[in-house]
Order: sequence, then structure tokens, then C-alpha cells
Amino acid sequence: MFSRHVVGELSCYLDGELSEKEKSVVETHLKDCSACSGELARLKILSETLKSWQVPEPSGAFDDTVRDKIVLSELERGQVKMDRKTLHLLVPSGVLAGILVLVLFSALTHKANIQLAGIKDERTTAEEVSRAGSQYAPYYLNSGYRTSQMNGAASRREGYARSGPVDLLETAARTTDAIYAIMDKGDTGVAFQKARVNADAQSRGFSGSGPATASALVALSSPELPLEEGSVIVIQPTLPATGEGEKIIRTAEVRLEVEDGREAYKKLMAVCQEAGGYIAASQLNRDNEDRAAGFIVMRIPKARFTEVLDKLRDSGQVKDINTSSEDVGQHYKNLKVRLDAEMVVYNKILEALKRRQKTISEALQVQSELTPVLSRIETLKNQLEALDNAVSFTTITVYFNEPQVSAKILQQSGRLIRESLMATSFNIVKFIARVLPRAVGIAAVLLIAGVAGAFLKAWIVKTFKRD
Amino acid sequence: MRNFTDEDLMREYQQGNGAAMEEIVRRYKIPVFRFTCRLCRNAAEAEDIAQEVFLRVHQYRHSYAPRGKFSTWIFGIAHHLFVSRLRKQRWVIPWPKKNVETDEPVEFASSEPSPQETAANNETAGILKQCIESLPLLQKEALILREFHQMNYQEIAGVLNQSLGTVKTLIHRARGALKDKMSAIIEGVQGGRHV
Repeated sequence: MFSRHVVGELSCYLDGELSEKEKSVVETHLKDCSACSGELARLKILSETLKSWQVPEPSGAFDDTVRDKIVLSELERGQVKMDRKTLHLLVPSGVLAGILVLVLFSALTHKANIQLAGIKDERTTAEEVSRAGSQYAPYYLNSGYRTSQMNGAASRREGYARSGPVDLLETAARTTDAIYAIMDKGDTGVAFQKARVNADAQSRGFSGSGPATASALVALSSPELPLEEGSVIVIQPTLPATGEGEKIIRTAEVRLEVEDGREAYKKLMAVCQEAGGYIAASQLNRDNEDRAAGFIVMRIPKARFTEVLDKLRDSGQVKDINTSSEDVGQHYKNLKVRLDAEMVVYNKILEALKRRQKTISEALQVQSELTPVLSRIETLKNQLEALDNAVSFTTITVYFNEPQVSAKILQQSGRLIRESLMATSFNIVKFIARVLPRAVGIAAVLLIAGVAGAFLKAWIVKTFKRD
Repeated sequence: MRNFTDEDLMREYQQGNGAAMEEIVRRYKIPVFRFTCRLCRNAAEAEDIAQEVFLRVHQYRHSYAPRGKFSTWIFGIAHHLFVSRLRKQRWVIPWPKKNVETDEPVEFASSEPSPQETAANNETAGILKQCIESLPLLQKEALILREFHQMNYQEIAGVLNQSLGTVKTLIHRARGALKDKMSAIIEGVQGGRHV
């Protein structure tokens, strides 16, 4: 069947794709053919070597993202209703505001109270949250603080401070401004509108068993935020303004040969600035032979990309150009889809919050559900912004160097050679000018002597011939 | 659900059993991701495509008919999505309009690894990855499906929508090209074994 070498069949043989008859023929041939046997051995080694190519595992959010995409797909088909108004309200331009603040409102009190340690619920709550792994030592301010934003839940403000001493809390318990200061210093991450409150602080002392059990009693009233029974304050995240249009990351690498490295460096910086870009990195150095070389990495607005590349031609001799582009539109779209899906989840949890009982443990549970969602929203937002930046500003890397033999030096050398030749010519002419008169004189004397000699000879011959 | 075949799971999912889809994702998440990861240049893009595969499985669940293996169908979706993605990335950049040396129009493909990246990847896996990436797309896919997913030629033909003879040729050529590019490594291994 295979009268010649079986190299062409070895792949199929290796993969077990030959019929029994073909396999038998190949094996018979291999016994006697070292070339084909060697080739088979190399294919086996190649196959083993291929196994060394490891790839990473998918991220932990893979399953959730697939689920979110399916949910959003059904949403878009109209299978699931959602409040679009909420999404529209959440798209201002700007920066993400912060993390979520969940305030539970005590249904029993209309006036704000601050209870110190000794109250079993707060202690229990503090311990629960401590076990949840908060990095901050929690100080709890149980206040009858009300808002009009949402109804039906007890409001509770939780303050966190970085392992603050008890005396700091004591001070905070007396004035609401200090309370805000503690919360801000404690970097709760909460961005909320400060309301003017009248503190009616009643500090009862502290349990002394540590910050986890300490709490303060503050009476608050907020004229700017009209309060109703059972309100909850929730901070909505702000989403980035995401642009439409193509999403293509463009990069270019240009190699220039320049006469003067320093001048080229300055010129390239000027080109970048004129185009409204900025320098991401740069370097200029000299080698042992004092030749300048370096690179500049420019970020140029995408609309000026072509114009800048044109201008680079004026900066030196272009030796090499490489440009590339990467269409990240699908990736961008997927991130947006994920972000939208997270917002759907976020809003659904908020809706659930409205319906739930206002117990502390359930409020904490809602908070613990919302926090990772917000964290994911923040991550996705940052990724979108990074992509927008990469798309809006192209990257041009320019490598420049002075040549081995500069044209300037060649020109100078040429000029030197010409000058030398001219000098030599002058010298020759001068030499001749000096020597020539003497030579002419000598030649004249010799000529005269020769002529005289000839006459003398003729006279002698004539005289002796007569005799 | 874990004892169901892939085809049974799809049947269940067609009837609205969401748990069947979860099981499908559990079974094929890693194989599909590894396939796309070996085709794409970065894991993020690979994960995007892999997630898109499962979305398409959901969207086209009612059009699935168990004529062949489910794995052939799902990998075929991955192949199709990757090719679509690749087509969008290949286009002509406005500048430079002409090659500065030859004065010919220039077309640029997607980003290639820079010389710095090439120099940095001197280990076998790095060289291997670059060699495979240099293969034509169908050869690369056929080889990956054979070497890393142990598909037979018939299944590969189903995934790539090619004939059996074409698949044989693709794999033979892919191995031949890789063998030449990696001859130094292969000879080194072979020499070590002979000693």
C-alpha cells in the first residue's frame, strides 16, 4: 500500500486514525526504515512537548458572569421587567462616589439616642460584625436618624474608626461634628451629604472592654433631611460616562535615524505637545562614541494619530515603522453588559431591602450582599475607564539614534578633503612658481652655452680644416 | 444531573430546567476556556469568548438537535465566535498609506508580540506558544483540538466544518511546521534520550 516512505501517514498513525490494514503496513515499514522511525520519534517528542503549554484557569466570576449575561439577554427580550429610570439616574459623568452606607432606623424611638455599651443588642451586633472580618474597630452609634428616601426599615449609622482609643469615641459622643470626623477619619468610604444636626449627646460611659463594645448616644435631628419613620439611607454608585463609537487601541513603533539626538529629542517632545498629547516615558543617553540615542513614548489623542506619524518623518530618516490595532469593542461591550447586569442585581437587592423585616441581622445580611456587588461595579467601571483611556489616546513609541557615520561628519570630511586638495594644489603652484624662474634661467644659460659651444665647434673645425 | 449525558442535559434545558445549564457550564467551562485561551492572545479576551459561548448555547438551545456529539456543537460555537472576533480585528489602518521603502500600500494585522516579548519568552513553553501562534488558523485549531482535547478527526471535522481529508492534511501540516520551527528543542530532547 505504501511503497515508499510513510512520513505522510505518521500523523494519522500517531493519532490512531488508520485502519487496521494501513496500520499494519506502516508498522511493517517502520521496522526497516530508520528515517520514518526517526520521524515518528520526533512527532512523539513534539506531542509531549506540546503538553508543556499550560494555560490559566477561568476567573472565579465566570459562572456569575454567564448567568448575568443570560439574565440580561432575557431582559432585552422583554422577559424581565426593570425600572429603567433607575439606570438613567445613575449615569452622570464623574467619579464613583464611594461604598454603600446602610442606616437602620429604630421603629421605637423618634428621638435620636446614643446608647453606650451594656446594651445587649449593640454588643451582639458589634461582635457579629467583628467576626465578619471588618478591618476597623467598629464604634456603633445607634441613632433615630431618619431619611425620606426609603421607608420601612430602621435606620442605623455604623461608625468605624481605625482602632481609636476610647477617649476619642468619648469626644465624638458629645458632638455630631466629631462623630462625622471620626467616620471620615475612619475612612468608612461613605460619601454622604452632611446634614446639620443638633446633637443631644448623652454619653453614658463605656463598658471599658474595648472598642467592639463601645457605643455612644447621640440625639440627632436633621432639618435638611426630613425624616420619616423607618427610613433607610442608601448611597447609589455613580457610573462612568461611557462613550459610543469604535473601540480600537492603536499603537505604533517608529525607528528614526537622526543627525543630532538631543535636537531630535526636543523636537519629538514638541510634536507631542503640539498634538495635545503627553509623554508617558522617555530616555536619552550617549554611547562610548558619544552618539546620542533614546526613545520617547507618546500618548496622542486618537484624532491626531495620523498627523503625528506624518510629522515624525520630518524629525529624521525613518528606518522602520510598525503599527498595530486591537479591536476591543466586543470586550468593551461585554464589560458594559456585565456592569448593567450588576446594576440589575443591585437594584433587585434594594427592592428586597424594602420588603424585608428591619432586624439587625437581616440589615447586616443585606449590607453584606450589597458590598460585593458594589465592589464588582467599581471594578467593572475602572476597567471601562481604562479601556476608554487606551482607546482615546494612541501610543506611539519613537526610538531614535545617531548613525554610525553621520552625514554631517561625512560632509565635514568631504570639505576637509577638498580643502586639503586645494591647499596641496596651491602648494604645488607655489613650488613651481619658486622653482620655475631658476629653472628657466638655468635652461637659458644652458641653451646659450649650447649654442656657443656649437659655434665654437664649427669655428674650430673650420680653422683646422683650412690648415 | 451529574449522571446525565450532555445530550440529556440539553434536552432538560430545552424543557426549562435551569439546573441542566448549570451542569453544562460546570462540565464545559474549563475545556472551552482552555480552547479559547490557546487561540487568543490574552486570558481576558478568551474568557469573554468562552462566556459568549454559553450565552449562545442558551440562546440556541431550541435549535440544538443531538445529531452529533454535544462537545462538537459547543466547540463549533467557540470556533465560530473566535473567527468572527478575528475578522473584526483585521482591517487597514489609514497611516502609513504606503510602505516607506517600497511605496506599496500597507495592511496591518492584529498586534504581534514585540521583539522584547519574543526575547523574553525563551523558555520552551514561550517558544512553543509563539510557534503555534504563527500557524494558520485552521491548522492551529485542528492541532489544539487534537493534542489538548483528544478529539478524533471526525469530531474535529465537525467543529471546524471541514472534511475528514482536510483535517488530516491540516494536522499533518501543523505538526510538520511545528517540528521545523522547534527542531532545536526536539533534537535536544532526542539527544538526551539517546544518551
